[in-house]
Amino acid sequence: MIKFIKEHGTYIKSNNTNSKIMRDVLIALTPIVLFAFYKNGYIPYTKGLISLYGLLYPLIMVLVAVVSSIFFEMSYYYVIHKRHFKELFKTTYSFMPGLFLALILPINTPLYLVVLGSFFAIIFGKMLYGGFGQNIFNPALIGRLFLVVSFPLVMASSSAYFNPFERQTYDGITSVTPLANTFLNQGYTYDDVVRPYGSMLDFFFGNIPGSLGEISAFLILIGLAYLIFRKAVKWRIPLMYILTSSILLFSIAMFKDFDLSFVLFHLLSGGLLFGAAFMATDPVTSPVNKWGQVLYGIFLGILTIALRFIMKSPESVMISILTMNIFVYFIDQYAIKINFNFNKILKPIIAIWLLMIILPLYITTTFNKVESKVTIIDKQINSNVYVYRASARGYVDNIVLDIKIVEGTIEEIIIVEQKESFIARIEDANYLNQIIQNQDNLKELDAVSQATYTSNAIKEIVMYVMEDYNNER
Amino acid sequence: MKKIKDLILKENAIFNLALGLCTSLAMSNKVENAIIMGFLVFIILLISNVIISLFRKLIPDNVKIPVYILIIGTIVTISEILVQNYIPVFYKAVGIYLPLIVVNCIILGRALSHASKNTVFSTIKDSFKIGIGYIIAIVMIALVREILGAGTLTLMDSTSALTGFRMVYQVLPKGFNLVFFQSPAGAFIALGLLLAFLKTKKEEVDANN
Amino acid sequence: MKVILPSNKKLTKNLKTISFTNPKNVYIPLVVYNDRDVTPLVKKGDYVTKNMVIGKTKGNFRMPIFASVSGEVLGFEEKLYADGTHIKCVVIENDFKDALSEEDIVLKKLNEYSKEEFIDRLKESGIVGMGGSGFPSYIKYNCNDKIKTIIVNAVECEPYITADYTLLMEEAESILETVDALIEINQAENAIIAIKKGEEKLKEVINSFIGTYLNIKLVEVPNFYPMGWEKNLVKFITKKKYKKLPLEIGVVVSNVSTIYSMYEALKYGKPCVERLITFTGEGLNTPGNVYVRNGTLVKEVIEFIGGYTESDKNLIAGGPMMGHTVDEDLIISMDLNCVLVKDNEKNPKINPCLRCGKCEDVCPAKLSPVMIKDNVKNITFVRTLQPEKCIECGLCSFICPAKIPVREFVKEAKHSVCEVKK
Repeated sequence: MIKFIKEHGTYIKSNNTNSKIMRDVLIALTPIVLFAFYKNGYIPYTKGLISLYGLLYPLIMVLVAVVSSIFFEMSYYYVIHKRHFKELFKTTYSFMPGLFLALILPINTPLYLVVLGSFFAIIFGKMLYGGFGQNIFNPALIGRLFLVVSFPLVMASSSAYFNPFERQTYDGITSVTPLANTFLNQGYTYDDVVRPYGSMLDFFFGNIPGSLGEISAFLILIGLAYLIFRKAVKWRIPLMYILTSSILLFSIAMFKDFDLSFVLFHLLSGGLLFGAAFMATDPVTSPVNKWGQVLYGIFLGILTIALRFIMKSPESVMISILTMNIFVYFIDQYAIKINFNFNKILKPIIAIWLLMIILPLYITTTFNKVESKVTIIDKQINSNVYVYRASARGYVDNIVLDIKIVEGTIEEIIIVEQKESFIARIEDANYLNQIIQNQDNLKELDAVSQATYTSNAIKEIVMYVMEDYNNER
Repeated sequence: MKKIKDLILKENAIFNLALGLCTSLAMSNKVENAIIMGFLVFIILLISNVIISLFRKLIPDNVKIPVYILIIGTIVTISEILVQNYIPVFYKAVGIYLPLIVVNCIILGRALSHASKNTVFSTIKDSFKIGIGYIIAIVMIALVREILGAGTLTLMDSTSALTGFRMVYQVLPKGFNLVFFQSPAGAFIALGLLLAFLKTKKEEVDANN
Repeated sequence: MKVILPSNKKLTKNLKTISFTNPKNVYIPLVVYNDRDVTPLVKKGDYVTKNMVIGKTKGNFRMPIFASVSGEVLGFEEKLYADGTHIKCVVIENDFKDALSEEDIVLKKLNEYSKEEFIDRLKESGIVGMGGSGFPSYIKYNCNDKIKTIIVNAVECEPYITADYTLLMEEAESILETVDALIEINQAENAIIAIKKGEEKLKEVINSFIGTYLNIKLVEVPNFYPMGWEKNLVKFITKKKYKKLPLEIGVVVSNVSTIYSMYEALKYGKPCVERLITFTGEGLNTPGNVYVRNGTLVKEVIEFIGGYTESDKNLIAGGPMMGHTVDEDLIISMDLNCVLVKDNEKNPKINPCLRCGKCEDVCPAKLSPVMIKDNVKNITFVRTLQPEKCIECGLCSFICPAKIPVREFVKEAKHSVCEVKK
């Protein structure tokens, strides 16, 4: 007896499924994870610099992050909602925030911090909003935000981002990622900013220090191309994000007479490409409408460049994505009107146009190489002994030094007044003696690690005083 | 025991009425500060509500609010001067937030909703309830924030000048604290988590009854 | 985003047509274009001849309803109609004589009809849109605006259906003759036959006849779904948009089966009681294109052409995207163009919405099905999303990776918005 069964819906279905989309994302991320293992585990291991545990550490970090995120999500469901997790595991994709979190953390993050970040990412970034499909903020970025705020020294120190092989190679660098390095030199020259880490090709293929996943632009672009080919990503967002950032960077470079390397450098560092390709395109937290996606990408670009150059924050990508996540609901509501009446797009376009003109102009006016203004307060001359008292601005406030020069050589430097936070490091490193010993080629002398502004200020005062002394003679 | 449960779950100024959040969030970074602030708010609540209740029949309705604010402001200023002179340790701990008690919505809120309509005796009972509930609530928030955020438990640090001994316990090993909870954002999140937890408890208790 | 659906038309393409024009009983549905307010002109026991008027709708359109066989009226019964609801039908027992009544209808040469006679003939013959809409055709042509172009819609974008294709292959000559006559009668400028890209055989057949008609052009449209939707078709061919009716830009669109029934009405005076329908699907032993009479039981036709395969079935009235599942007591009506029998598959599990935005990307009416789905209970907000524009094409449900039946939510919103308006 044949039964005739009634159903609603269409009677042919496409073969898209949620699992296929997630599988494509995993395939796109695999080369990045393997490259992280190769660069941070395999190469130092072959040079004999780390143990077997260090060889596998990148993979262990990814594994720990994924397992802990699955564990926290399933425990939350079990404890709070009393639901069994076998069926949930297939539909809520709890490994995704863990995997992304591991890829945006520094390479030497201790494992307990990875677990803690995973806890915060899952509970505060996803579950408290109602689970899969209901969260407002990107969970991996929430986890990273929490770690950066709670453990700033661990996350920002050079020991977090450099693997032992890099520590050997980049001997002269005392700061951390290439982007943090630029905030020290107020201007931009290729030699200051790119050359210490290699050539622009190194930046493109990923031979620079940084977090696990954000460094290899080449692999990120390949992953993005694969996802676009499989129609598994909202491609308008990374396109408009990178386009807007490039246009703004080009304008700044034009006004300040920098060359093309400025644009390339800023596009390839700071995790911009990874954020644009994988973090901003998270389907749950980005707009559904196509014009909404375009506006979202453009505003992301504007915010990132503004935060990077006006606020000088190395976390500009993370902050801008989290900020725009708040507005996704409103963007969707506005963009549906654009569907019906295309002229409604004029209002945002005018706002964007104004911002893109004003922003580069404003940035160029504040983007100056701040000449360390050294002022000589006092100069005492006793036959051939000169004692200068000079001051300049350090990291917090003015530093005042007494410098005694006898017959053309500096004999003594005394710090009279300072309010620096990390003056202990200067004292620990015996920096003043170093200056006296290296007084003939002070330019080559490195600043003290973790106290760069202070050391540079002291160096500037001494050099200025030397010059004045030589001019007098 | 039931009364204490009621104080926390049913009629609590912070958890149910969501009043007075600014002082509770600002001063809950150490348990000691929380106790001091709670105590001060309680005293001021008691005194000002009693006075308002005494005069409730004399104050016309249309100038109610300015007159109450005047009364509360006067009492707060008097107590500020008294605290500054006689208990300087309190002033060092919470001094800056003392004038803020004027705009603490608990005092004005209870004045408008209870003290202006009830007898003095009933007002005293109500102030005790709300005040002690407030102290318990702010101490709970401070416990979460301090233990998670700084790893210590400070019961007597600034006030050690009064009593002579310090009570600061290191609860978590050094370096394991989440600085995040000492920041304002962490305060909000801690408050939110406590609210969620207590609401579920309240529903359980209601379901059991 | 443009979507190409799997066509599945190989099951019934280029097969010889079958005729099942002598059913035991017919159940004539008393409805024209959702107007169920019909005065039956016969009662139980009456004898009716074929093509006799047995009912007239009382609403705005005043359309006649015809008997498709001759015989005795057995009474009235409720049978299942193509939209899934039950409808009152006149039951006629076939005496297999196909007796016609004596009526004198003035028959003329096709292009000698005047506009008024043409409109009258369309109305008297009960011609409705046979592409699925069921809209009375005489109203489309009875207008004050000037008709510039007549578009003949032979695109048939829905999968599985080959009724229009087969009809056009068999009767291309008569159809082209009718189109030419329509141009003259309506004083239009030209006509366009729209077919799907890549149909070489069909192109050959049409091109062999089209040479004699200078005003008729053959246009191939791309294979996207729903290219056969009026708005899409007009926009592609004329590159112009319109708000409500294509008459605003001087265009009239008619389905090719409707044109053929106009041919039969104008040339032979035959009303619209028989049509070609595709019976297809993996659940049938021998799918085919069948000529059937109005009111025939689908059960009988399927038995006649070879029956079902084993296993539980979905019996669908219409195509796989826009049709409805029905029971076996479905009857044929003139706006039905396909009966699809599929083996019942287990429904895939519904996952939570991924918010991928594909449904919004793919909607031809530029709606946002995902936002409508989220706000279906909130009528004031849903009204700003304009769900009444939905054409129920089904692309949103088709493309959803989470297998959510999105179209049902939009239909629900559409009904609540339209009800409030009333």
